[in-house]
Amino acid sequence: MKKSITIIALLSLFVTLQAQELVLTGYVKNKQTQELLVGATVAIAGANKGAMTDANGFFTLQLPKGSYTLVVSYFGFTEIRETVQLVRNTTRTFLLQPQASQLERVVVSSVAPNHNVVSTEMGTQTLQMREIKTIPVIFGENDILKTIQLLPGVQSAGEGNSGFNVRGGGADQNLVLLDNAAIYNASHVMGFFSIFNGDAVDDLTLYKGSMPPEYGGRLSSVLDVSLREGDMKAFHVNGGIGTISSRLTVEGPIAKDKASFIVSGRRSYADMFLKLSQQEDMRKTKLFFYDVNGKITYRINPKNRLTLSLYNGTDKFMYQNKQGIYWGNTIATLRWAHTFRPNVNLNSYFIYSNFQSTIAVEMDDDKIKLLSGVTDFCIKEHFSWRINPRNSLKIGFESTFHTFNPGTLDTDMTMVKLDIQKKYGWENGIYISNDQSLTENFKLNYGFRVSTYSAMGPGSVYSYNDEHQKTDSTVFGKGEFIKTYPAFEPRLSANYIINEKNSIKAAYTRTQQYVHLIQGSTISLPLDYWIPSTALVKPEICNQYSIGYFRNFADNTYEFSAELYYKDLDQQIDYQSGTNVFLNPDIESYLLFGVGKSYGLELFAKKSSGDFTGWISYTLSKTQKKFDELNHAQWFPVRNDRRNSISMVGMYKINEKWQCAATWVFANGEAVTLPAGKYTIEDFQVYYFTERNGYRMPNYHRMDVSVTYTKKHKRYETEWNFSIYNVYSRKNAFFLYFDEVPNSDRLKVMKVTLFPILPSVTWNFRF
Amino acid sequence: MNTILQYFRFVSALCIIYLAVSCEEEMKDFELPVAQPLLVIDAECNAMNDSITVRLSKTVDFLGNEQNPPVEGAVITLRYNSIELPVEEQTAGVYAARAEFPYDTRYELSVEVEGETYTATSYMPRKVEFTEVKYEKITQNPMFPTLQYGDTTYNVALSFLDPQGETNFYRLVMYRNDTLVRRNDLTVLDDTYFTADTIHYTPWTNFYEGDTVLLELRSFDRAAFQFYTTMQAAMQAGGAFSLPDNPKSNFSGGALGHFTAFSGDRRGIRILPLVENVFISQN
Repeated sequence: MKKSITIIALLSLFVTLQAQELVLTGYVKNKQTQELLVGATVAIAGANKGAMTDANGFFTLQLPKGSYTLVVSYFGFTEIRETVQLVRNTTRTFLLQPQASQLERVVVSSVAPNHNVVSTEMGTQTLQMREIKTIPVIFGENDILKTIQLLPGVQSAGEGNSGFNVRGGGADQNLVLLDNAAIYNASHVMGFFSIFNGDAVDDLTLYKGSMPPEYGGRLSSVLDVSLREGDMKAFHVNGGIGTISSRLTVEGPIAKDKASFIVSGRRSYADMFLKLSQQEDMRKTKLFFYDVNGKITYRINPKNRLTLSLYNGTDKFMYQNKQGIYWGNTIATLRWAHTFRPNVNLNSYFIYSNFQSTIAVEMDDDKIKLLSGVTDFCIKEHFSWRINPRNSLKIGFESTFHTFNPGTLDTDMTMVKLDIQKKYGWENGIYISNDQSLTENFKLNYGFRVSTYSAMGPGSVYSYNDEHQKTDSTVFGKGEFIKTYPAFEPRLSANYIINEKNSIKAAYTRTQQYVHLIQGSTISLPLDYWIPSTALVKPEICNQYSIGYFRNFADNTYEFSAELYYKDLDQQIDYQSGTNVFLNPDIESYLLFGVGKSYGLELFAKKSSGDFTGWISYTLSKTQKKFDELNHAQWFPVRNDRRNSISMVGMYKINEKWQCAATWVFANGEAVTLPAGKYTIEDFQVYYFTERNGYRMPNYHRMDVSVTYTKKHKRYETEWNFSIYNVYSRKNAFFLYFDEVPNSDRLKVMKVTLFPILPSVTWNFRF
Repeated sequence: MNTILQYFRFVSALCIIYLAVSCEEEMKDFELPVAQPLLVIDAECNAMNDSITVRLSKTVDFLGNEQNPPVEGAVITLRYNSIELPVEEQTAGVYAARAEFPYDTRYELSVEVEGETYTATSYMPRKVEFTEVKYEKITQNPMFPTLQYGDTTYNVALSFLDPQGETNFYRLVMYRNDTLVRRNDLTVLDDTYFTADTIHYTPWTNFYEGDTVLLELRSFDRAAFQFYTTMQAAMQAGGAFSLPDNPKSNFSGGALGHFTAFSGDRRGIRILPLVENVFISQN
């Protein structure tokens, strides 16, 4: 590691030292709560120079000696101007006053006005909760996972579904992080809602292109969601009553300016109505989801800060307390943020993450429970050092111990056995990266990640013949290494800034994935389960190349980007047709390994300030896979290969009280396998398929609208949100099936649609 | 075992949640890709009635109302234990022959037609016999216990001795009053999940008082099991819940269909009024 640091340090010297320049550093804070503001802008008036605060609210500016007027601004806060006499290296803290109401629905991006142009980030999108809350969604349940589906390169996994596919990737190829803890199933109610409660979420960043080296372990994307911290100054209660669920959030100081808490809960209430039923059976039936988020922040001293984030959520559907299904995640993250010097920080994370799904059936005397899930224990260390305004170094490691349970049968029936082993894995990653300005116009972010995955004992490793019969086995004891896969993952992105309005960027990212979701269905049923890489299951590999052009117009009011990407995928996983994936102890012998490629063009135009804001995104893409054993070894499109997709989002603030928003989405249909012929075996009619995923579902399009009315009272604020999903009641096909025409041998095509026009109302309050 | 099968029924129930809010309509002017007609061989060597039957036909357009055309004039030969048995055409596209077929034997079928030769082999295991066949009154429908039936319904419960030390594959074929019980899925199972040597199994089919039920328990090899399980998937299409593919044919030369040699046991019972929870076993 020392060597690498030296190399990076030497590279930093590429920049000729400009000793005459002085350094102005400092923090930007919320004046009321003393919270550090991330993404606040510190700009020099009258010059095209400025800086943005980092994840620690810290900024650095390098300037010649002199007098400057600094404009410090942050979205939702009143801008301040201060004059600084720079005669030596200086550190300053700026306090910003929040605007009258933080709930105010001003929707602009929080990042620096031209951050999209000047940073090395590519294929990266950041969204603020305020934006997300304005956008209409199904049943009025604002949902970050549905909002990111409106961004270029991101596809919905299906009607009303919170599952998403990024640049042709699979649903299991997204790393979803909640305060740095990996989430293995981010959905409620079979994908209709995400587990993220909008009241508890601070912001989110989606990396779909150049994944920074501190992230790894998934091929397609990283969705990094941060939970809010409680207010250090005063208590607040806010909540809402919606069509599907109700929410309540309480936050406040534990010790003023020292420690704070926030607790946010949400529960659906479909089953409350069942309690009114005449039938006892129905009264005993449970059908709900809930989730609770909590976060405690303790500022030990200006240099040390501890936060504890907790999440627990469950979905339960139990008929008569006898048979049903329940699943959920439990997450705990302890973070210790230590500041050595204003420009040197260390963040340590101790993480527990558990996903468990249970199917329970009780019949007469027989009881069966099928349990499956994943448990992770993880440590992460992120060290960052702003060496100088031209170099920002990041070094760190993470180490995770995984326990996978693909399926345990818990039963008192003696005649049934099921022997699916638990699997253990140890995943490690170390990384180093530097964000460097080589010249005023040329920036480079370079680094690498070395990851390893070790399949660990206890467990048996089997060999199989073509008939899926075990031919050989090797037994490994606890703590023994079964198989280790090392990987070198270089990451590079470059930005050539033509001027402050135009830039060209390019990036290369290599990623490896060691965990794989086995899906028995195309909707997110809790029957899906995770398996790790083992001696038989190799890691998935992705090499992604992208280039982009970024341009801002009209004083950064409009931003535009065009990105091209190409992904080269290896060791992709599928399984032989007709495989029973559910409760299959030998599933590894049924897996097939193939290659894939995905490429596309993403256009994005956004208006981010003013009364009218919004964006238009267009994606042209193609994703294919090839397996020797499938589709006659020919390339075939993946299910979520939608050639064209368009999203339009518009939000208009009419006045202080009224705001409206509308979205329109269009996408070509998914690729599905439909029969080209039919034949008879015995008396049964069997369908004849010629091409895998060779047919397209009908085009999908839909419009949603919402109106929000906000009323400010002296001490509290209320808000009504009316939204309509699928305004023109487009009958989008959820799936197709074939039905016999009566008194004929003919078949007809039937289209099943899920949601017609659906209005909903939500009432929110805050005091 | 019953309970494991219920998982699958349970999943169907979950899907009903989707369907509860959904609606459906016919899609007019829908066009599917048109495929070249392909040869289909449906061949069964049945040790229960000492016969081999081979049906040859061609695929037809999916949305058309054409019948699958029979394929005539094929030369078909069954080979086993150095015996060559010609399988002669009986009616258009239907070929048959009779012989006593030994168990624990590998059979090879060759079909010469339209200038091509298609071959497949199938292993016929020893027969597995029913040890008990009974029926029981259904007091409730476990999936929808609140639903009331107008009629009293019965399930058939059967047991058989599963040979140990090997993987065995079964298919249960049921006839109600001499009519094949048509189900969306074929009842095929393997013994992967069973520890005990006696397997108890209750198929989920409702029978009524007065019904005569004929049960056949067929035993065959893994290739046949794979054919039947993949055929189940290929009897439905559409996009939501599975990725369909053609059933795994064991013929060389690219013909659809299968050749299965099976042994089996057969039992018949008549459903008579029954006092709840009292079982009667009949032969």
